[in-house]
Amino acid sequence: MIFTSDLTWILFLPVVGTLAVMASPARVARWVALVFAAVVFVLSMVIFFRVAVNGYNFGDLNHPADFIHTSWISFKAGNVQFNIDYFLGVDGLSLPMVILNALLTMLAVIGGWEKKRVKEYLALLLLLETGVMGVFLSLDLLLFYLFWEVELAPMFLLIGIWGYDTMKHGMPGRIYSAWKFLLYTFFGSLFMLAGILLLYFKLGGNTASMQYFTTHFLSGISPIFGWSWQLLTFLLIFLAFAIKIPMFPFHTWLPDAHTDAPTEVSVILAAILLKMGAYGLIRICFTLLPSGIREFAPWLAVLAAINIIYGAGICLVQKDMKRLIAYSSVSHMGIVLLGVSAAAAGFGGMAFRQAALTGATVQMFSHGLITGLLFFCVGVISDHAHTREIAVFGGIAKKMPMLATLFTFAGLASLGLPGLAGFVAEYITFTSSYQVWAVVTIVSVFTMILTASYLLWMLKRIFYGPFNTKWSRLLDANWRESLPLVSLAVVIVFVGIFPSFLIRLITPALSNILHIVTTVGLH
Amino acid sequence: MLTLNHFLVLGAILFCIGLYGALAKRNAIAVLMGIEIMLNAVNVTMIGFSFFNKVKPYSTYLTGQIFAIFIITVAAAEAAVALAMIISIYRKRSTVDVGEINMMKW
Amino acid sequence: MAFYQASWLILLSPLFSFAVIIFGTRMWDLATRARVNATSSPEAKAEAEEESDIHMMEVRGAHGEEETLEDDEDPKVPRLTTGARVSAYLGIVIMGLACIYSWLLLLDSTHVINISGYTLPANGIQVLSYDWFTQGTANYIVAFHLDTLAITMMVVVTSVSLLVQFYSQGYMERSAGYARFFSYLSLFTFSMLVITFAQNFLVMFIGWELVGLSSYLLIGFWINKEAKPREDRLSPATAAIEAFITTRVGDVGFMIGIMILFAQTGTFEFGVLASKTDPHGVAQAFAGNSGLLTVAMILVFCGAIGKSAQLPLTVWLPPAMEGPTPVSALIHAATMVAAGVYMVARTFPLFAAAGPAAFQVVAWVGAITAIYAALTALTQRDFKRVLAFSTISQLGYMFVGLGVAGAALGPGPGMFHLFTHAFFKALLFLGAGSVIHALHHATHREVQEMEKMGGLAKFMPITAITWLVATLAISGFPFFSGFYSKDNIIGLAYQHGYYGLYAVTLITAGLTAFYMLRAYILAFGGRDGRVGGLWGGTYRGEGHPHESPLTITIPLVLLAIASIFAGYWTGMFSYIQPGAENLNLGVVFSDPLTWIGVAVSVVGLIWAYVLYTRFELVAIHDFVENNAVLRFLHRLTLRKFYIDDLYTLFIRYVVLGISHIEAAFDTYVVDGIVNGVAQAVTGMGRGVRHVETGRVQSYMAGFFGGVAILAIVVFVLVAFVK
Repeated sequence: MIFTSDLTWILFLPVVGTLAVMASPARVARWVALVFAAVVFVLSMVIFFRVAVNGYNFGDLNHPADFIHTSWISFKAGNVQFNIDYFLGVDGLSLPMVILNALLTMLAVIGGWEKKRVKEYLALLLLLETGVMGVFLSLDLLLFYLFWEVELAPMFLLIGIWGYDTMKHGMPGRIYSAWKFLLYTFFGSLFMLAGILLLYFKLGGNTASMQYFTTHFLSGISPIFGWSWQLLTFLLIFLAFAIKIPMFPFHTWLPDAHTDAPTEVSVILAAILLKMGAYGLIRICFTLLPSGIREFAPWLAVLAAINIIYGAGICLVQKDMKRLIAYSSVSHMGIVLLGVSAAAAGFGGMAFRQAALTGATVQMFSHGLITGLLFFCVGVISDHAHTREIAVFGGIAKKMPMLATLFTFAGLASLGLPGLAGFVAEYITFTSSYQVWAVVTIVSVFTMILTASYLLWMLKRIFYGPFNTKWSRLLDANWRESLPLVSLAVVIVFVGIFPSFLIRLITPALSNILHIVTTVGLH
Repeated sequence: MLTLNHFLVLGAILFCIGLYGALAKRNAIAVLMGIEIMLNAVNVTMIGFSFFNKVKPYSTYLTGQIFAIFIITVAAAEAAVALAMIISIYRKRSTVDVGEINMMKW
Repeated sequence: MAFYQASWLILLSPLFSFAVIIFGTRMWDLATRARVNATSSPEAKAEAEEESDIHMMEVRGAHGEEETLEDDEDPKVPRLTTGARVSAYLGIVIMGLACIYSWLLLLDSTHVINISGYTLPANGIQVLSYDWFTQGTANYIVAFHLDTLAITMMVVVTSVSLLVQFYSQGYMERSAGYARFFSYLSLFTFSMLVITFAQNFLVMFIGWELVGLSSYLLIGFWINKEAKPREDRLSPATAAIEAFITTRVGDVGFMIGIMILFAQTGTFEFGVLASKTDPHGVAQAFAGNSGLLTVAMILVFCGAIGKSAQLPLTVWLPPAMEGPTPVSALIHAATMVAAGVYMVARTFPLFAAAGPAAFQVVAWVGAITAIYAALTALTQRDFKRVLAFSTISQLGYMFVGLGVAGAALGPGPGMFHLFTHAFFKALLFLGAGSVIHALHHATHREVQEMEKMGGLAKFMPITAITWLVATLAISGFPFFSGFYSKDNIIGLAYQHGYYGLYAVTLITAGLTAFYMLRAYILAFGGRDGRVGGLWGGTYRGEGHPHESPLTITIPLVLLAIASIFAGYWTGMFSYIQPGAENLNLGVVFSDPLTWIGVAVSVVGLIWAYVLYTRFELVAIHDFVENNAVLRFLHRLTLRKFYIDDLYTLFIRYVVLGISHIEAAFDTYVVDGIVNGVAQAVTGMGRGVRHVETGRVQSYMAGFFGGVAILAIVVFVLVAFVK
């Protein structure tokens, strides 16, 4: 039963891969890792195409396109019944994230081909993939929590062992950042656990299944909760997501973690781990606690604007490429928050709110691709030049035409150029959020100037202008380094031109969420 | 006529003497002796309680006495280990002054 | 019908060229280039080993280290490969076909010829569309649309693009980025056509940003070229960023305008928005709230301010001259800056539906920009920069035309000036490019300062005569195209009662005539030239310039013809807006207003003629320098009224200052709190661990003390708390 579901395979193949990589000799370990990552990617695409050819209905939380549900832990202590189900499922909201995770892990394996201690590195990357997959696949809150924590361990090791040694606060940066990442995330997850347990016991259904909660809202039986209880639970759970997203003022772990993590880990961190927060926000906070998020929506909108503008402003004066891109992530994830806050507000046209939520979800996907690409590009430069300081470069497009092209492409995608993925999300989110949060959106739109400024200025200082002869021996990206870049670029263009394939994929899931919101809004 | 109170007072006095010895003496052997006195104070109290138990005849329940025997056994073992440690410390540091033995600080 | 329906071919053909060149022929070009000869220097040898490095081959032939910097100015290859040539041919042929197609569309829709037997409906037809996202009232549809306005613009875009591409063959000879250049030109044309075909604000915005991208790529085409502070010139890389970001400032306004419109009406479609009956039209959706609509339209106009380089966002256009000259021609004549005008023309019904303030803002911004740019152009030394300011000034005219025309006349006058201006401005730039090209061959340097030109007419007669035609056209000299379009706008301002605008535009016309003839004489004529100094004279530079090759002169001649005759399309107003009153040449020539305008222009021309053919440049310069007032005015205009410097200060000290404060706030306050908490915890641990003294007796005291306290607590609880 369990092993006939492809979701199980998607989830646990990377673990098998981890063991296989550790067991195989170093020469073949890379290929083993690549094969496992590729198989997982293929499996996730299989799910996509299977549904796509059968009418393109990817379903919602209550009708996932594919799921497996079986009891895992069930025990009774006194009069407390604990049930944790092995409940995995993909719907329109989670499938893009699953595909993104599989794709980027595969590319990260290619990117990390020549790392030191490559066996352990790739094994941990695969382990990380499992943790993240679990978060996106779980439809049981406690299982979700479990995987949320599982993902921390490989990430901690990856940053701590393979990171950069720049000194920070009297210790090597990788140690500092690994601990900061771990403790900060852990701090948040404790509150999340409290929130989940509150939900579990308050609702008293002896199940932590997300479907159970939504059906209760939908049928109008919501034994929990006036909005005040919901708001409390929301705040508890949201704290974990806010840290992960990262939302101002909980964002400071991100620049540190990014600068000190090795390239591929930065890629995964920015492209996928941040999405876990955004995904959780939509999947759990929004779907299960609609009244709570509605109370918080105005604040969320304000925080979104702060994220967007504050993050972009800081980027202007960054000296380190990675740090700059890290802050740009803060800014771009603000757009997700803006879209969610618009959709969660208790007023405004339904069509606009759905558009805002769609924009936010598309932004999750496109930001994953674009920031992944940016970090890969920075990785190539820092591997070749052994520095990431923007000021020491100049005019090196002459030496690295391939990389310059792709990096410029990534920068343009990030600043929201039409025809590329970022624009779709930004345009939809901004135009629709305005109807709900006018002032906040107007303030946020100014990020268009700031984003263009910091990205183009960075590109100019690195690649264009007078050539700095110090770099006359610099080599361009080789084919192995270019492969992930080009693959991502292709996807970015495709999503940018035909976003409807993605939007149609996520629409049923989001419609369901907004349906719940309206149902609850009537109470 | 001996009453339970006599036993308890004796136990308390012994315990205080032992406590004073354990806390105030600087020689490790003396501290050990203080501890032994405290243990015996407890023994006295235990047996007192057991003997003067009015609810249940003591022939039925020998809990206090059994505890006392246990304590004596444990105290013997403890004394052996403690003395061994003291000797060992003395060999290393040429002192048995507990004020100077702070190898486990922080 | 099908004939019009298939016009999406025009739209997509440049994109096709772009893709084929970038991924096909350019790769071919790079793959077949001659390998670099390994020279003796180890540096070059190391470079020669990097065979996969494509730019390296672009950059150097068998040069030594010294010439590298010069090479960075404009990298050359020894000879063009077949791949590069094919790229150019491909771009030109496809653009030629698109151009012919669009001319046929124009002729067919004006019923000059009859191919389709179909009359294009007044509100146009949809040619291509696909959905992004549709949900209830929120629809994001990428849709392309063809109507008479689009056809007019399309003709301009494809014609100018075709000529510019053809011209670039000569101008970009042996350039290392030959194929890349042609692909970018195609992309630029495509972007502009997206705007042209836009059916809704979404597509308009897409094209809008793509134009920004293309200009960014083309202005920064010479990626390693250095800044020239002595000539007040930025590096192309900087100029490209400046162009992109400055226009983005306007785009923010544009975006907010779109958001307001969308939030109120729930649609992006121009057709629906303009409708008076549709509930989603602005007329209904903004009923009783026209103030908001006015604000929205002014914000939309901000986008045009940015793209069309109006005040206060003029700053990007003069530095944009750092791109290759054909690019300047394309930007100034047909694509980038025209986008703003076209957008206002496209949204004309929405402006008309808004309060009168909307049009007044458009007209006044245009007028003030026109005179500002004209004043600045008076003293510029750089040949291309004069043209840059003249473009800004002429765009101002177009906005005045759009602003004063009123709903009855429609966007005709503004578009008419756009139409004629496209030809003579393209001509001016291509002519300037021809001069720069010739001087580059003569001096082996890039010469753009007019002080180093002079008397060029005798070396390059075709360039000179065509340039003179363009000069007269832009000055509004009778019977040239600019005369009809510009005087029409000035006259309209008077007729519709905007006397302030009339005065400003009239003065600007005189200034325009002055600075254009000044530029002509400084470059092509001189004191000792023939025809009273207009033809030839002393050449102040080095070497011996020659006339440019045919690839360059043919477009010049064609454009010169267009510059004369484009003004005779008198049916344009009613073509663009059915029912509008057409331009009547009889009325034009009998109207005293026309002749006042002509008189002012002629005064400008005569003034320039007298000043620059009767006096030496040095003498004029000394005179200005010795007069305090003139010197001050000269500085003021030469420094563009210090707007650039103001912005530089603003960005450096305010924007970056705030950013620095933010960054410090982030490091020391936000992150400081995080680290502070961590330090508080570790600090507490450090303090508490001193309790562990390691002395057994202190532990024992603690233990028994604790037990004693607990015992007391329990005793108290048992004894006193019931």
